Amino acid sequence: MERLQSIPKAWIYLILVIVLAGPLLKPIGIPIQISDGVRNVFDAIDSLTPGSIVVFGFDYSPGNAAEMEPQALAILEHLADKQVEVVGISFQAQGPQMAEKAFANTAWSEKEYGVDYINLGYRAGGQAAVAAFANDIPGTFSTDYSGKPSSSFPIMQGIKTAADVDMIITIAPGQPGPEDYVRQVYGTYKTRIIAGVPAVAITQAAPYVQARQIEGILGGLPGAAEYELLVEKPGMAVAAMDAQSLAHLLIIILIVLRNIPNFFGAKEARAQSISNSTPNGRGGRS
Amino acid sequence: MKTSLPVAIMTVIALLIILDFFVVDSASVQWIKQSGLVLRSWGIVISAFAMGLGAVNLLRRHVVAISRRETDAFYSILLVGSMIVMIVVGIASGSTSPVYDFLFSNILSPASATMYASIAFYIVTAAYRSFSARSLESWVLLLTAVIVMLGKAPIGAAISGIFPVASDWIESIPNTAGMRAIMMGAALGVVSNAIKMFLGLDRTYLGLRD
Repeated sequence: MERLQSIPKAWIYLILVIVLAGPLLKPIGIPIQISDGVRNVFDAIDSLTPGSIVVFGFDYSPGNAAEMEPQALAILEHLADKQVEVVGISFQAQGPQMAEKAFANTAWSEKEYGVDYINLGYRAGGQAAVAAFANDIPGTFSTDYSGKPSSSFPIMQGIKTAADVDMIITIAPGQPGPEDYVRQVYGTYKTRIIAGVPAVAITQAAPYVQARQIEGILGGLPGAAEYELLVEKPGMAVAAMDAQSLAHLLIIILIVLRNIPNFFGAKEARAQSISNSTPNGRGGRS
Repeated sequence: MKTSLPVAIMTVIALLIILDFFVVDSASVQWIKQSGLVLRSWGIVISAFAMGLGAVNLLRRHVVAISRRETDAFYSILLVGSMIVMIVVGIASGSTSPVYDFLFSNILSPASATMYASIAFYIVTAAYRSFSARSLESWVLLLTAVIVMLGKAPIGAAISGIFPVASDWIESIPNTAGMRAIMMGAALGVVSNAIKMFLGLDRTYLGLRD
């Protein structure tokens, strides 16, 4: 029984590799259900009219792209379909490159830069930069990612503050993230906010969603997978769902194995304590 | 004077930023809006300098490690080399150039993704080793974790429709209630700390203990 509590690390690693690689190479096709939260995000974006201005915060880096990028790509596909105008910004140093990649790998690659979409690059400063952006968009992002004056692009005409923006979408695994946009943008301008966060950060963003300060959140890879299905463009996230399911199952099995000795041990200890507390041991009543 | 002047500067600047948040955008208080705008721009510039300072510090620390031939000097050489290459390429050809893009897409991205992905192995072994239920509370925690893990992956719904429903309930009711309490507590803490700083009671940011 004790052996269940001391499975070598190497074996666990090996099993995990098999569990993750297997479904990626040969998908099982576990059905994916669309949750209400993801449908809310879809409906909010779907309500945008052609020509609406959407600020898209590429606030993630290559390190967390595996979880965040599928969310960004799925939403961008939907935005392209809705024929809105997208202003890409970033408060994360490596965000502009992620934006370039995302625009290039979606339907936006066929649209006109500077007219339909733009990548304004990165600004340092965290929450202070978010506040500055909300008050003065062309002033905070005075140039685009390539260094050209942002005011020279047709898409930027008429955009001064966050009040001129119809929706802000931020894909952010950390700080600055959705909370900063709520504090600095929603608090003053009431601009609609949608957020994409990693699965572990859903709890942090949930109070803002319940207060309707954030209109909807996509959580982790499952959120991205559900969104890919809603926009009918299954991609990386849908492909990874089988692997994620089996990985979760593996963790649960390992936890159960770890606790079997505890469970039986507790039972034995209880039996032992009853036996000790009676003068003649078990069934010792005379 | 040595401490009261910085406290006064901090208080005036902080009050301007706070006022900017609350006042409406009318001509009579335009100066507050303008001050807020300028101060936030300064904040961005200072942040950018802080990043530069961080990079210089990192470089200095690892150059010293290389010169002293410390145990892990190889990694320092790797870091300094990578840093110099990225800086030179970035400055010489710009961050939109094909060379910079090549380095970003083929070295930085895969390396960062690998680091992040390797966490999965630690999470699985950590869950296995640490989730040892020995009390009622730990059994409750264990059961909650199992429900949420199943509810957050398609396999949960495939096993039973109860898992996503239960997982959503845990996340949106008890979990959010706890999170909200923490957030409100933290916000009140920040406000009280700000008041202490305004009154000059907390001067630790000046490098003073009392």
